[in-house]
Amino acid sequence: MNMQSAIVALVVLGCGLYALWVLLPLAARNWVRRVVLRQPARAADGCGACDSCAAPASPSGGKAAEHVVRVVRH
Amino acid sequence: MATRTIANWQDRLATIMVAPLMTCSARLPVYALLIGAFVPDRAFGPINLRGLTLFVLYVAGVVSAMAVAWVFKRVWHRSGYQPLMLELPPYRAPGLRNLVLGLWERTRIFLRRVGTIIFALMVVLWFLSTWPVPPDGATDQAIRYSLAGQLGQLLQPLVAPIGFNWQIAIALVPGLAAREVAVGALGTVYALSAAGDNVAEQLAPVLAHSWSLATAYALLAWYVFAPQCLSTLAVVRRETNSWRYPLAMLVYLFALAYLAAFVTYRVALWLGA
Repeated sequence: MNMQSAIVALVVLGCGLYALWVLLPLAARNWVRRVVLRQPARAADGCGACDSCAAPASPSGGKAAEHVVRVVRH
Repeated sequence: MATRTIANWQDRLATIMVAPLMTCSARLPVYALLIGAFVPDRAFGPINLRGLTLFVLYVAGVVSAMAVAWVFKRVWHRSGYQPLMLELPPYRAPGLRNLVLGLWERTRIFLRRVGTIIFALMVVLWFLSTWPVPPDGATDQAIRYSLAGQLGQLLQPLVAPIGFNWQIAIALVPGLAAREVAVGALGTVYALSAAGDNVAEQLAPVLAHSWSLATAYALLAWYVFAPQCLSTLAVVRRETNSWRYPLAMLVYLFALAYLAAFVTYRVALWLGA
């Protein structure tokens, strides 16, 4: 394998791993963090991270429906 | 996430199930490419025809969401009428500063995605479209012998009734991860399918030359309905705490997309497109 092929292989592998990591569901990412990287799992984001949205984590952790009672004043 | 404010579970579920039908910004690159390539830039009464086409695509998403929600609440999860009261903010005329800030924010987010996940997926797709190299004495395009080319040809019988060729079939696969990847995928596939100097040609004229009008409209119809956003399905799984609903969503959206593309393609062919 010449130098050019080795660089191409590295770039493709790096891009593939990056894309896999970004597209992996949070639960699977947390499993990799806990088991492989031995890091603490992260809480769910406020949304699905569409468009790289940086919304804050939801207080409920995205589990149950919140019963919202609004008081309307006009 | 926004459905958490809906107290009734049946209503909330119906809203979750139809949310992907609302046109999001990720569909815009595909719409812009296909409308720019196929819809003529002329007036239709007082309205530009391209603008009208884009508006119709948005309306199609809204109308189909209402229809699906109606069916969902009357067939699968029957529920009675539930009153809903929401506090709406006062309507104001948009300020120029806010408009510019919003545009800048969306552009920045999109450019970031182009430089990260879309670029990474395009590199992987390029590799899959060029490896393995064609055998000695091969006369066909090199991409046909690659992994992506073989996958595209495998999927072609499935998508042929809706007017898609094997290049579109390849582009649909990475487009499953995120819709906006489809434009880059089409560019990569057509660049590798072309020979010699044609590689550097712009994508829109290449598509206009390669596809019929019926195929373009069928692909637009496909993109109105197709579930091409993995993060949406992941959030539905999280919000419903079940695999049942994201799987049901995946199946019904694919069925709807296929049906819409099929009807659009056949009607366009019938009208002579």
